[in-house]
Amino acid sequence: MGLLTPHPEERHWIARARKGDPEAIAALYRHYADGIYRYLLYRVGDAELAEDLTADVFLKMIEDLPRYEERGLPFGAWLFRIARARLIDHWRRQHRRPTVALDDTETGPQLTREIPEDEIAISEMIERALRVLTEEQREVVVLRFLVGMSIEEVARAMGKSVGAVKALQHRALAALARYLERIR
Amino acid sequence: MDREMEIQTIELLERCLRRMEEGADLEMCLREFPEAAPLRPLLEAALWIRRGQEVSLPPRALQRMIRQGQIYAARAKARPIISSFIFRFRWAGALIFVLGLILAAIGVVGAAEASLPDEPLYPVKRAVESFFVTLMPPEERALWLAERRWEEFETAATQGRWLPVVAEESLRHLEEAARFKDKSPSPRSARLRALYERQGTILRQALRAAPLEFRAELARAQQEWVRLAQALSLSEGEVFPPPKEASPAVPEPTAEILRERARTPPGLEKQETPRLEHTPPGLEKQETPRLERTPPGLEKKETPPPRRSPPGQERQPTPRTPPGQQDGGKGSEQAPPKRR
Repeated sequence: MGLLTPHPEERHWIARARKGDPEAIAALYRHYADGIYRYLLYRVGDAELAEDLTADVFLKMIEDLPRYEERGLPFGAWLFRIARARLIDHWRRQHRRPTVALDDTETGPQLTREIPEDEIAISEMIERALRVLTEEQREVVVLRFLVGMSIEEVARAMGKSVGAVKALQHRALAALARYLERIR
Repeated sequence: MDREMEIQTIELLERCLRRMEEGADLEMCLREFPEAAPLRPLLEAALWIRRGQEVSLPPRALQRMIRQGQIYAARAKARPIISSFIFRFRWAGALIFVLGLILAAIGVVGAAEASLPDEPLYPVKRAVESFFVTLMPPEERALWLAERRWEEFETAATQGRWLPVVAEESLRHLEEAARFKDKSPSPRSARLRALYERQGTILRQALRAAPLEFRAELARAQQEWVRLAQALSLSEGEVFPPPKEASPAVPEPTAEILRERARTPPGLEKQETPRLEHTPPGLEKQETPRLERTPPGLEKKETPPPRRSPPGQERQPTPRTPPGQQDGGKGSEQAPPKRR
């Protein structure tokens, strides 16, 4: 299930969560926490940090819930916006740039050795694969294939045209295919 | 051509990806789109990376987060009503604050309008005035300023405060205003004339009523007033049409009262500073110095010929009459020179 897929009960949960209903709050967490966590995990590459950031995102959600108004912006997209702002804030605070992007043709020494899939967790494996991508390609791949957004939603989230996102997606998958070819 | 091919490939890849999202497997998709065969490695990479969706938040971590969120929500709910009210209506509060500031500013400007030169709000009055002056036509500007300064001088005088500097400033503005010649008698020239006549009358009264320490400066202002008439005589018939009827140049009842007050013993001058009464509107015409009554040649004797006194002697030539010997004020008065 993608991050932006609304649950049929979602409106009801939001209305109750605004009043502080613990069950409605729990329902919102259960429905959206995985998507937000995955996005943050594959952007920061650190499970513990991703958990902390996810917790922050949901606390911010509770804080801002009284001001949330559904005006063409689905709740999931609103939540994702909070997550993205929190991530940028984290990078700024850490004075750290996201993982250095490598050129499509370039391979770092750590990528040349074969990594058996059964020896490392899936998340670590994917995290390594994502390192071959540029920053924009990585954002497209995470949003499209790991968070589960459509190409239009990715374009809106990144503030780019659909055509530009499709081109980025094509180059990203080509780079990943080369990477997989190399490690197999 | 290559570019077109690339665009077609990108579109084909997206079509296959959507098809696979809808449930088709890779082989099915390639059967549907045989031209997508070269894209197989890319589609395999997409399928491989999708395995990352299997990763989810550890159940314990999720439970901990939910508890944390519920506690946070409960605390937010328990927030005092007053603070949530302030939070909700913070924009209204900001608006009220801004409106309050605007009202306060209007109040200060209004209060400053009635202020006099030695009062704290007077700089505000001058600042506002300097703004309005920029909006006025040049011929109106100087006359308006002359009237305002004179009004201040008169108001202060009625309160027993003597501000000869303000009187001189008014005269300077009047002189500037008179440089703009009206082709025919107009409301502006009538205002010019009225102000000039009023200045003469009030200055005469002030010279008699003011304490001794102010008289030298007031006399100098009166000389300026006389000199102004000489300068304005060039525009006679335009700005100052000759008065039709004569009137006594001296004592009016008000001046008599003021003279009495001016006889206060020297030690008490400060506390009992004589106040200049406002001349009743009906009397203004009668009090106006009439040039026809001025004896020929008098102005040569009593008015210093140069426009300004030589430096260092500015205060000396001031005609000064002891309070008890004023003889109806005739001795200290200077009538404007007869106009051509």
